[in-house]
Amino acid sequence: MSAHTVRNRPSRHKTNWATRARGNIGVSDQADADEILALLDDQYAQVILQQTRNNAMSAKEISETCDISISTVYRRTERLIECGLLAERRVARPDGTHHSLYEAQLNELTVRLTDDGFEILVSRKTTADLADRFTDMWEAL
Amino acid sequence: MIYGILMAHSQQPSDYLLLLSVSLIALGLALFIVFHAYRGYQRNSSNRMLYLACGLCLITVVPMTLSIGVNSIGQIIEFTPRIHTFYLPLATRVSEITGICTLLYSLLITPSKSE
Repeated sequence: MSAHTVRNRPSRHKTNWATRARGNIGVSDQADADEILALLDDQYAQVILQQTRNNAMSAKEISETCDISISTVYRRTERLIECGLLAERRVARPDGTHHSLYEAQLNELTVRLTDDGFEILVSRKTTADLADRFTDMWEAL
Repeated sequence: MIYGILMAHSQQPSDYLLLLSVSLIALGLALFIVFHAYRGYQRNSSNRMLYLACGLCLITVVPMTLSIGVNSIGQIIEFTPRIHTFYLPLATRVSEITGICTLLYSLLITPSKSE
């Protein structure tokens, strides 16, 4: 379990945000607290996270089931991936090309008011599939 | 009848069955890990996982299968002792060397999870 804290530069509003991510996925985020909150306020991002919570979906499937234009799906998924709220998995097709599947990583988000400002705690879902965890482990070597 | 054959090899049938079942358990566990490594390759299109699966297969599954196969056939057909003392260990070692090289290769290539 790697837990680390990212402290943001004090923003215009003089609030001091800190994000902390925990989870056993390789956490690579310099995730902006503002960006995470903005995404959670966004209705498209909300729907994408809801739909991909239990099953990985392609951008096309998300677009069809949620009735969102495909370009919006791509924009939102990109931002969600940058914040580490969504995971992208590339799957090879027999003809050698790839297509991406998206799966929500967010499990719980806690906002806490401390003396230093607000602190955001992101807890990630553990990747359930043994084969994926095995791959993550071996790729990390 | 099997009892007779086994006795002809001056080996207790219970010994043989115990060895066989332990080998099958080991083979099953090895196949489980190799299978998940291969699924990791398929799901994430990761070349490193493909080589890992091949390497593990060559180190574990192939020698075990050879050993079980040769010993089982050896119960029925009379092999020359040289098969057990030379050819079988040689094949096992060659498979293990190839497997270790494959594992090393898997470690050395740069991660190619995605293009």
